[in-house]
Amino acid sequence: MRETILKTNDLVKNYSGGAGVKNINMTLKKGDIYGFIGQNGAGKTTLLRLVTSLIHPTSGNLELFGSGEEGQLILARKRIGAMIETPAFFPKMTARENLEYYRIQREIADENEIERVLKLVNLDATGSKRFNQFSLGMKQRLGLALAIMGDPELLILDEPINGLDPTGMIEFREIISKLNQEKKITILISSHILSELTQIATRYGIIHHGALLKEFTKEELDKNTQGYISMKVSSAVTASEIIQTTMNTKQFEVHSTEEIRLFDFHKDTSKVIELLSSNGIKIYSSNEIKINLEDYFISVIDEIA
Amino acid sequence: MMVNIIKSDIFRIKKGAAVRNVFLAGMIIIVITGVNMLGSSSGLGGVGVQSTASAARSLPGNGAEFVQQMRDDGLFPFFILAFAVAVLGAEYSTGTIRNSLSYFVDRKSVFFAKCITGFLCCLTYTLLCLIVSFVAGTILFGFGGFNLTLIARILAQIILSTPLYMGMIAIGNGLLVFTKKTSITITTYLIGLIVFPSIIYQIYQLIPAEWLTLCDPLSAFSMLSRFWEFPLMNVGMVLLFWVILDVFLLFIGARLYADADIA
Repeated sequence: MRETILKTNDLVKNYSGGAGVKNINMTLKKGDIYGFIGQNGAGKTTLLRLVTSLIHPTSGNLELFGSGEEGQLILARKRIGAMIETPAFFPKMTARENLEYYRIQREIADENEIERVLKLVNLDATGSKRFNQFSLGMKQRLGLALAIMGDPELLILDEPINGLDPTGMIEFREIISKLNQEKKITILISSHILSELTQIATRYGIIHHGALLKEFTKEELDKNTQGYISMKVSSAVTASEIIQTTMNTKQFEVHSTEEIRLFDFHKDTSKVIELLSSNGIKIYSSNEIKINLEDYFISVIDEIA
Repeated sequence: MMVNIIKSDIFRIKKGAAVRNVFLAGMIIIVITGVNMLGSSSGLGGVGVQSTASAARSLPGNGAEFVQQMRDDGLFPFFILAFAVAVLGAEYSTGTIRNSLSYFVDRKSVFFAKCITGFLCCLTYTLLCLIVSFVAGTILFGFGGFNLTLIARILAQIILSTPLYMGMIAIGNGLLVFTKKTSITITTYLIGLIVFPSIIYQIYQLIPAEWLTLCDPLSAFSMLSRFWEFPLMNVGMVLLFWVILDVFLLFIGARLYADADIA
């Protein structure tokens, strides 16, 4: 059984304006890359701020590394690296100077730590360039460098790929995967660029209007987004009976009198067509319907709504 | 932890241009004031740092008197305090406060560390102003009047001013939590300087003790620069007032800082 890194218990944050989060119960296990999905204003950043103690909960509590006691939480939070929203640094200072400020502040003895993290995020050649001269992508990477300084066990990244160009996104993804696989860092990452999340996350949570609607694993997502073959036939009921008796499977659904949906048949479509044709079923069309994370996300929201 | 926060802030202050710019501004004010005094052949000084009280003073006879006249000014400490608040407020203006407070959850320690850093800024700046006053005074009015008594009095004044500096920095830090902007904080701070004497005056109406009229920051700083000329009772009571106020301000400030949500 993997160690629980983060657990929230009925976490609530109310704002006078109304937005916030309500009764969040989420669990993050060691080694997870947890993709936090939600529209703008859904409550992603609020929850991440609560975890990093930038804001205080209205009610509920959280446990970090197995402890929810105040004194232990103070120590536990030092095992977290975080990048919340757009990275903020002192504009007139260079990347090295900015990181040196935090190295001193966090009492990281190893002076080579700055070079190590800068190299990891490909910012080791920025020299005397000041932070205010950095591109958005460079700023994001410097934010990541700070977050991973001191080898945290939990990395919290809020919309880290915002503003990155395609190359930057690929680089970012590679860094995240490397940190997770090689350093065994648990990662909590929020984004609304869902296609990117699907390439790295191992678990997901969907947040909508401040509520955590659903948590699921990559395997569950794969299963729910595998798609299906939509076949328009002369009689869907007869076709289903033929498929069930001949192929001994129930991986289908009669959607209407003339439509049957076949799951897990992507490689055997021709066999099904042959089978139905030889049994006198007319096939009008056969289309492969794909479902991506966006579709799934919308379907979950619609389902709850 | 507090030591590391102070060390890192000192590192940042040294790297930034704020210290240099404010030091240059202070130096220019001192020099212009000295030149104006010399040119006008009166105690009327230059560019706004001179209070009406000091403007009425006589032309300094030597460098030491010039240094003392610069010390008399109640506004100079606020120039210094505004600088300290600006330095500490940079974390809010740039948003870097998120990086610090997401790591350090014991915010009360962070608050006290920031107050100490602010005090160190004030102390450093006071010493720099003293050096500039000494150099400008010596060049403009000649080397004379400097003796151990003067030095001892200046040192005593700096030590006695500690409760005022700490109190004002605690107010500044507390204000930053609400305003999140250095500029708004400094404006509020300056408005507070006007309001403070009015409040003190209202209290004076109820309790007509002379020392009360010296408790507002401007008067307190001015009094401490010539503390030996005032009754010991008044100096003691003003200091006691500020020590009690400090305890209150630091307690409230630490709580506000710890409980505040960081946007």
